[in-house]
Amino acid sequence: MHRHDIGDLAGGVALVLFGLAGTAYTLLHYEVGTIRMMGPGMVPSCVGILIAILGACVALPAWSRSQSAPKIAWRAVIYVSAGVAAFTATVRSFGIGPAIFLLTVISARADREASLTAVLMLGVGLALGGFALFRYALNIPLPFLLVPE
Amino acid sequence: MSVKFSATRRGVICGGASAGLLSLALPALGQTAWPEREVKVIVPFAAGGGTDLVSRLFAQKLSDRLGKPFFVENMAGGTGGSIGSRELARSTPNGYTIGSGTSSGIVAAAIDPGPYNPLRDLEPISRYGATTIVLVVSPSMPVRTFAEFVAYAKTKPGLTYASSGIGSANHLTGVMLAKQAGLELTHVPYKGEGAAITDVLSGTVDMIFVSLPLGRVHMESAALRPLAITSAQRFPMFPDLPTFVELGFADLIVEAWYGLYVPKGTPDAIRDKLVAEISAIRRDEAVLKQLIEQFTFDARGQDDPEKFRAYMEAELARFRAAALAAGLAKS
Amino acid sequence: MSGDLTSNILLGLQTALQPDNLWFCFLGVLLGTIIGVVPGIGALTAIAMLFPITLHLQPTSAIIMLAGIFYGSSYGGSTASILLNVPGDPNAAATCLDGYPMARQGRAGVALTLVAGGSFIGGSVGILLMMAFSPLLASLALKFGPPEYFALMTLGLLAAAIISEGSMVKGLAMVLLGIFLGTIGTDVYTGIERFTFGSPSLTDGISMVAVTMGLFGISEVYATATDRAENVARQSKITFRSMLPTWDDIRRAAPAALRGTGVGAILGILPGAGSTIAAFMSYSLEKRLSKDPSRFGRGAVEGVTAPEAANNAADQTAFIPTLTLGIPGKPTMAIIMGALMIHGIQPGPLMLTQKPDLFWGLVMSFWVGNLLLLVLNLPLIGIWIRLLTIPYKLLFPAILVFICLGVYSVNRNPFEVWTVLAFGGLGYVMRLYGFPIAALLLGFVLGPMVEENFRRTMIIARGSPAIFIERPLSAAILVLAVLAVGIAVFSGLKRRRAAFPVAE
Repeated sequence: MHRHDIGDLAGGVALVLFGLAGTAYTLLHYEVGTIRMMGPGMVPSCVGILIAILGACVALPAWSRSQSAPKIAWRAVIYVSAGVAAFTATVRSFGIGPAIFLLTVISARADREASLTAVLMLGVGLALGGFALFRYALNIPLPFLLVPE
Repeated sequence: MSVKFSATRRGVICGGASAGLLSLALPALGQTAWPEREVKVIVPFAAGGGTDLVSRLFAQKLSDRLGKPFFVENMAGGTGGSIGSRELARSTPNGYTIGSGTSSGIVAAAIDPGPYNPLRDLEPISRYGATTIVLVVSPSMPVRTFAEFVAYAKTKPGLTYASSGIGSANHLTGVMLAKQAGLELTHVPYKGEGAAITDVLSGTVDMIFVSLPLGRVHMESAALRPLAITSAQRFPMFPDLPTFVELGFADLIVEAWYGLYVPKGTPDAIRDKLVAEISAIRRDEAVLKQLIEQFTFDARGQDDPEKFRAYMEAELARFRAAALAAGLAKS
Repeated sequence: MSGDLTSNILLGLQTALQPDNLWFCFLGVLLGTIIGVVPGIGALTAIAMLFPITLHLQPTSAIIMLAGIFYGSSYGGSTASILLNVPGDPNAAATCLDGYPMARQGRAGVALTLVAGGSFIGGSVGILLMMAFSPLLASLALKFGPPEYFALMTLGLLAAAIISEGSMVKGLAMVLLGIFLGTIGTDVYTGIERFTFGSPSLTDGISMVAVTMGLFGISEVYATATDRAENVARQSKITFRSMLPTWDDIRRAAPAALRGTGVGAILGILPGAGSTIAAFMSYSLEKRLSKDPSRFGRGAVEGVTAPEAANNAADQTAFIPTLTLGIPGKPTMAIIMGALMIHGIQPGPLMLTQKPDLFWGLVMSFWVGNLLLLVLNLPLIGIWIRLLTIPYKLLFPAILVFICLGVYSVNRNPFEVWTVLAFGGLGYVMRLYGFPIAALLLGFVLGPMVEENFRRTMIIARGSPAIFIERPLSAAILVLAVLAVGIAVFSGLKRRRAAFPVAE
C-alpha cells in the first residue's frame, strides 16, 4: 500500500504538464485570433488549459487517498512492443512475409512457456496466411518478400 | 516557424533524391522491350475519386495495348497528393513506376513550394484532359445573372463562399474573382467539396466555386444556380453558361486537369512510348465519349510533354500570384 | 406515394432477386463480414481495394456488392470486440465496453446472438425509413448547418464523459485530451500545420483507425498476453444453449435495439456524423436511461445491442443523402458515388425518377443483404466462440499480425503502425490507472468536428454566438446537452451521497 493514490496522482500530474506544455507551445507558435475569425491556436490553447485544470482535479484528491499502484506486465509490454517495432521497421523494405514472421516470433516470447518450434511454425503460418488473406480474399496486394536494392 | 519546417522538409526530399541517384547506378534495363513486366501507377488520391477513376481508365487501356498489367496503387494524403507524388519521385526511374497528378499539385506548390513541386520533382508526360470550375449560388440569392450578382455583392459586402479547403483551386478562384471584380467575399473552407456544397444547397453559405463533375447534378436539378464558368471557352455541356473571360476577366481561367508523370531520369524511349500511347488512347472514340460524359471533361488533353510543362509553369505562376495576393503563400 | 411504394418495392425486388445481383450481394456481405472481423481494415479500405473489380460488373451489381461490403463490415466489426476486446472497426469500439465483459462471463455466444439480432433490427428499420421517407429525411440533412453540427457534437462529447466508467472528471479530462490530439494536422481554416513537427505523415492528422487499434487492440494484448488466469477463463464450454439469450436478456435488449436504431438512423443521415458517433451516443443514452447505470461496463446486454443497432441503422440511412441529394457524406459514400458515376449514373435528386430500378433495386438488395447477414452470422457464432478455445499464446500474436497488417495496408505508411504502438502504450497505462479509453477516442473523433463547426459558425454569423440560440434546431440540441449534464451531475451527487459512508 502506498500513502497516496499513485495512479491518479501520476496521471493527474501528467495531464497538468501536458496541458500546460500544449498551451505554451500553441501560444508560442500559432495565432489565437478573434472570436469571429479564430486562429489555429484558439482551440488547442483553451483545451490545453482545461486539461491542466482537470488534471489538477484528478491529482489533488489523490494525494490524501491511498491506493496501491497496479503492476505493469513488463514482459508483455517489452516483447509485444519489440515485435510490433520489428514489423514496422521491416515491412516496407523487406515485405510483409519477413515482417509478420519477426512480429510473431518476437511477440510470442511474451509468453514464458512458448516453445521455439511452435513459435517458428506460428510465424511461418501467420506470414503465409496473412498474405493469402489480404491478397486473395481482400484483393489488397501487399508484397510478400522484397529484396532491398 | 514555417521556414524551419520547410527546411526539414527539404532535407527529406534531398534524402529521397540521393536514394534515386543510387538506384541509377543499377544495371540499365532493356529499353526496347518495355514493358517486360507489370507497371505500377501511383495515384496520390483515394480510390473512387476523380483522379483515381481517370487513372484507372488509362491504366486499363495501357494494359490492353501493351500486353502487361498496369495496376493502380492509391497512396493518398498530403496537400495536393504530395505523399503519393513524393513516393513517385523517389521511385526507380525505370518505367515500372509511373503516376498520376492533378492541377491540385500545382496549386499546392504555388502556396508552399517546399514539400513538393511536380515541375521540380517529376517529369510530365501528357495531360489526360481537364474539367473546370463553375460559380454556383444558392437559389435563395436574388440573382439570375453574373451582372446581377456583382451588383448584389457590392451592396452586401461579406457574402460567403464555400470551398473544398484552404488553398484549394476552388478557394483561389474565389480570391481571384474577389480581387478582379473588386468584391468583398468571405471564404468558408470545408474538408472536401461534398461537405462544402451541402451548406450551399441549404442556403447557409451563399455560393461555391465547385468542380463541374460534382456541381453538374445540382445544376441540372436546379438546386443551385450557375452564373459563370472558369473554362477558356464555353463548355459543350452547358452552352448557355458564360465564361469569366467573356464577362471581362481575361485571366480567370481555372482548369482542374489530370496528367501522367514519371520519375525524373526515366529513359527517353519509355517516355516517348508513353506519350505516343496516351495520345492514341485519348483519340479512341469510346474513351473520349467516357471522358466527356462521365468525367465532364472537355476534349482537350495535351500530348506534347514540352507544351504540357510550359502550361504547368504558367499555371504555377498564376496561382502563385493569387496565393501571394491572398496572403496564403509560404516561402 | 404509398400506392407507388408497392410497385416500387416490386420493381426493387425484381432487380435485387436477379441471380447475378443476389450472388454479388452475398459476396459483398460475406467480404464485409470478414473485413469487419479483421481488426484494422475497415469498410473504406476494403471498398477502395475492391472497387476496381466492380468496374467490370453491371452498375447495379457493382453498387449492390460495394454496399454489401459497407454494411456487412458493421455486422462483423462487433465479433472481435466481443471475443477479443479488439474492435474490428472504430464503429465497433462501443461494443467492447459491455460485449467483452459478457464474453468473460462465458456469455460470448449470447452477446453475438444479440448483436446479430440488434444489427438486423437496426438495418431493417433503417431500410424501412429509407423506403418511406427518403425525400423527407434528405431535407433533414439540409437542416443541419454548422451551428446544428456544433450543438450535436457537443452533446456527443458530454455523452462521452457520461458513459465513462468511474469518475466524470477523468472522463472529461480524457475527452479533452482526445480533442487536443484531434487538433494535430493541417488546420482547415488557415492551412497551418499544427503539432506536426514537420512530419508529412501528420499533415492529415493522426489516423483514427490507428488510434482505435492502439487504444483498444494493442493495449488489450499488453494487458492479457502474460495473464495465465485469463487464458483459462476463456476456455469455457460451448453448447448450443450457451448461445441463446434468456428472456430477461431479450426483454432488456429489444427496446435498447429500437432506441439504438432511432439514434443511428438520424445520425446516419447527417453527412459527416457517422456510425462511430451513433454507436457511442446510443450507448450513453442506454446508460442514462438505465435504472442501474452501474451494470454498464460489466456485461449489460443493452450496452451491446444498442450501439450495434445504431451503427447498422446509420450505415443504411447514410445512403440517403448520397443517393437522393448527390452529397457524398463520408469517404465510403464518395467511392460508391464514384462507382455510380463511372457507370454513367449521376446520384442526386433526379436519380429517383431517372433510375428507379437502380434506386429501388439497391434498397431492396439491402433487405436481402441484411437477411443474408443474419443467416450467415448465426451459424458462424458457433465457430467464432470456438476461437476462444485456442490458447491465447497462439491467438495474441495473430491478433497483433492482423492489427499491424490491417493498419499498414490502409496507406502503406509504416508511420501509422508506429502510431498504433504509441497509442497502445497510452491505452495500457490509461487502463491500468482507470482512465477511460472510450472517452479519449470519442473526444478524438468529435473534437475536430466541434472545432470546425464552431469556427465555421462564427465566420458565417460574423462572430455572434447568438446564432446558436436563434436557430431552433441547434437551440433544442443544446438544451438537451445542458439537461444531460444537469442530470448526470445531479444523479452523480446523489449516488455519491449515498455511497459516502461506505467510501470513507
